[in-house]
Amino acid sequence: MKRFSLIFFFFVFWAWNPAYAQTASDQTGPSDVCQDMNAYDPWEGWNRQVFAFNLFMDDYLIKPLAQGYDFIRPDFMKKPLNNFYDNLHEPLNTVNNLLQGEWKRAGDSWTRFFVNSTFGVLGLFDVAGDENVQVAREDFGQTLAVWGVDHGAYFVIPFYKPSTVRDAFGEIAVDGFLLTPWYYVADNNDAMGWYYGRLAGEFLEVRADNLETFDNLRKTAADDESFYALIRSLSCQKRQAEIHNGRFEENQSAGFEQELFADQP
Amino acid sequence: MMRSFLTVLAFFVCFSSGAWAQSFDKQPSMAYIKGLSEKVVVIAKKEQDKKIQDDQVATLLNENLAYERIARFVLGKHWANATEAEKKEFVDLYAKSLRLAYSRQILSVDLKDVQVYDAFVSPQGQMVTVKTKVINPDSGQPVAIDWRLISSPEGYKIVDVLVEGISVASSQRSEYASIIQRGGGKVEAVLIKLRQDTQAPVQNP
Repeated sequence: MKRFSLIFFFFVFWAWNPAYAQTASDQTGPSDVCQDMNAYDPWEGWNRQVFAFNLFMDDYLIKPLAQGYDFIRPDFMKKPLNNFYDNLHEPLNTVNNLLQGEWKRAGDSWTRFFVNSTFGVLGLFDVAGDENVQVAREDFGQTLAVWGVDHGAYFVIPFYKPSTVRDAFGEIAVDGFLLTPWYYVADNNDAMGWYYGRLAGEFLEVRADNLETFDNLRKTAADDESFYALIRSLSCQKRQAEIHNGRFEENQSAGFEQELFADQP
Repeated sequence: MMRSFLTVLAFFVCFSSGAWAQSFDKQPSMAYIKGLSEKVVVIAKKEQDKKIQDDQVATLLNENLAYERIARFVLGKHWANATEAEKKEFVDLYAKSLRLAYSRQILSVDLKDVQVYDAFVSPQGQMVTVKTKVINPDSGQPVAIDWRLISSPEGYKIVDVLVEGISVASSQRSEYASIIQRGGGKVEAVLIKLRQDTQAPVQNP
């Protein structure tokens, strides 16, 4: 149990990307999901409190750490480090693409992992990307969405990106324990420290990469209360785009068009 | 079974593509976006005063954004409850805030190699979405930018921009709804925010 809570703790650190965080989905069309926020966010009271807590922790702990890290990290290492962490996700991308029947994307993910881990020196260099084999990032939350599982309530978790019940389950419980090979590798070699270290490292990396973006975004909001609404909308839309792999636009336009011309019966 | 399926499929493909071709020609909307990005490239390239550059982008935005239509959308259901004076002030301030927020951003995007690759008309036929890709100079990865356009007597006007599937207008609508809700349902709450946002010295065209 102790191990579970430790892993849980670090996993939420790992996946938290406050600037462009993710969330929910629906099979019928994203416009409906992301426009009716009352239906999407039934736990708004709880969510707003946790969101405020996360902002507080970010202000006084995480952001200063990330700034320090950003200061000591040499600029030329930014890209390779990003590549390195991205490469560790490729096995998960492969499995989830397979589970979604995305054969070509699964092949791309596996190719990327193989090529970048070898010719790309443990993933530091994106050799496959240079050859136009692009990242096809997937997680088990998206897999569940493709299988028709509803997103469930919008769910803000301490130290984690905005999520939904389905996505939090998929990404933390399933991806984090069952599907990722790194957990087994570390566990079998008594090297769980490396496993946690990597999650913490990636978390810091992502936060450091988004220092400016996050600040700018927060500045555009009137206050933290409306910042909550902005992040909720962004995360919902971002998640829709991820689930549909960018192919849903025709679908999404219907709701937008209707609202755009709402004054013209 | 298979044969009838294929017949239905063939019929559907012929019918839908025929209808598509009759009702919608992709080229003009794609050419419009291509032309617009070329204008931005020209402005960005010229070595000139930042102020003049900003003025030129602001003029370009004024000519190509359907301010009032976007303003109505972002206010959503609250538009109907606003007084005429509030509506007018909102459109003006909102337009100003867009110019302020996006003039610099537009110039910072490298539109030289923009790839305008597709367009489609929306279900009710009142809107066109043009799909483009630009390269993010930081990561070297392509970023999907979609432009939603409507027709006006002066030609196309932009009503929304989607970056990687995220709609700028929808995000603002959600944020404004929250501000108004907490302001007791009054549009004034949003006007206060916009007045603050646009207070900084801004170059009006």
